[in-house]
Amino acid sequence: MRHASIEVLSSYLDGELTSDRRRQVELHLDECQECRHRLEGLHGVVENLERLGRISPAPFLERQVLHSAATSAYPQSLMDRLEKGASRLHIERWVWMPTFGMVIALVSIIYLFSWGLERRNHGLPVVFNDETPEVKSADNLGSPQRLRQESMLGEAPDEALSPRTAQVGDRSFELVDGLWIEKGVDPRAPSMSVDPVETGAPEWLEQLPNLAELERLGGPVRLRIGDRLVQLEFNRGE
Amino acid sequence: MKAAVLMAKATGDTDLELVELHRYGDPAAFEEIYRRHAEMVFNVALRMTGDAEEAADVSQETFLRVHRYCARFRGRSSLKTWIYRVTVNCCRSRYRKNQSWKNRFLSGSLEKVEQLPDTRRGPEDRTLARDRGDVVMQSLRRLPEPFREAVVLRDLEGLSYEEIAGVLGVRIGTVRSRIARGRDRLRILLESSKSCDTHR
Repeated sequence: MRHASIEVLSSYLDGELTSDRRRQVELHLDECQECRHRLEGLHGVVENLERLGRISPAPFLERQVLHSAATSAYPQSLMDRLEKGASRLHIERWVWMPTFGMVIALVSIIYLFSWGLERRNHGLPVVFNDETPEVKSADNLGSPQRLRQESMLGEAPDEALSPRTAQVGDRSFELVDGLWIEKGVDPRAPSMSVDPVETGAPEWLEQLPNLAELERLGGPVRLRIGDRLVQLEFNRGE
Repeated sequence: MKAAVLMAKATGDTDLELVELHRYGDPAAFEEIYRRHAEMVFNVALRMTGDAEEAADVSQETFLRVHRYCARFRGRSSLKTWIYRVTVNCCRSRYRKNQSWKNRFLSGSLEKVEQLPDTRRGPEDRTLARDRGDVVMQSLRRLPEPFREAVVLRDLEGLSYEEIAGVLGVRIGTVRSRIARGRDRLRILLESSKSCDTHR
């Protein structure tokens, strides 16, 4: 004969079995003395426990608990403070918690963005305009023309190697390795080297109306004058 | 505010209202929560620890936690069930804190306890232990913690299997098994103590 498990007997005692199962157990108990004995034992345990009764806590405990609660030594966490504050303002949890989360997320995004930007400035090129001293145009000396330089910073650690552009009159120049090269001029092509300040400079140099501006660029300038490819070396003789 | 608490007292089923009032910082609300649940907490603690002093300490710890975390109580279960859960957790942490090798030996492995005659008691102690209540309490203390929790909540506090599952955070099947095994072990312990007394 298969005996009823202790779980089944205990559940039977608590009335926690379905009516079918209960009937099966009762049929088994009619036949099995061992299970009946175990059930009686379980019943005795429950009775013994129930007989323990209830005990009231000592009155001093109430004073002690209330006093401890009033002077609670627990430090309040941020969540507790937020919870209390929200309760006082009648703001439901489902409102303030997502809002708080969004604020945290927004602050994090802003922080990460600024951090990323700073990092990018140290590693990848960022283009910005650099104001340069005014250069007076030779064809219009009365109205100063602003020389515009675009700097590509961060592309190379050496500032001298960073390319810059300049506009003199209608010519555009690019600074490469300390040499100003007119746009469209092949830097590798052979050119004639001339110091325009030197006495005896060729006459065709006078075709350049804005020589002073070119000198202000502050370095040798390679450009096309008519059919000639010329490199102007200012103050070469000094 | 005092009037609100008096209203809450008068209307009966207003545990959630009391929690709300407590959130607003009303001390009278917490006092009322304490008065409603103090006996329940103390008795659970007493049956779990088997010592009145320990039970008082557990009660105090439980209510301090209730005072602190009440703002987080959302009413998904009843306040009573929630306080039961806090009490059981306090008992567990105290039990773990105080657990010495001796306690572990007594309550951790019942198989060993069942086989050993209770030689620790002298004749005087045995005379005292004749009181049935003491014997039951002693036997209850010898149960492993999970069985003791389930049996205390079921047979002393009268909670349903579902409520116990909620308090202990386990499935109903587990509760059923723990209650049954706890009772069975208690039966064996009580029978052995009875036979000990008869042979004496």
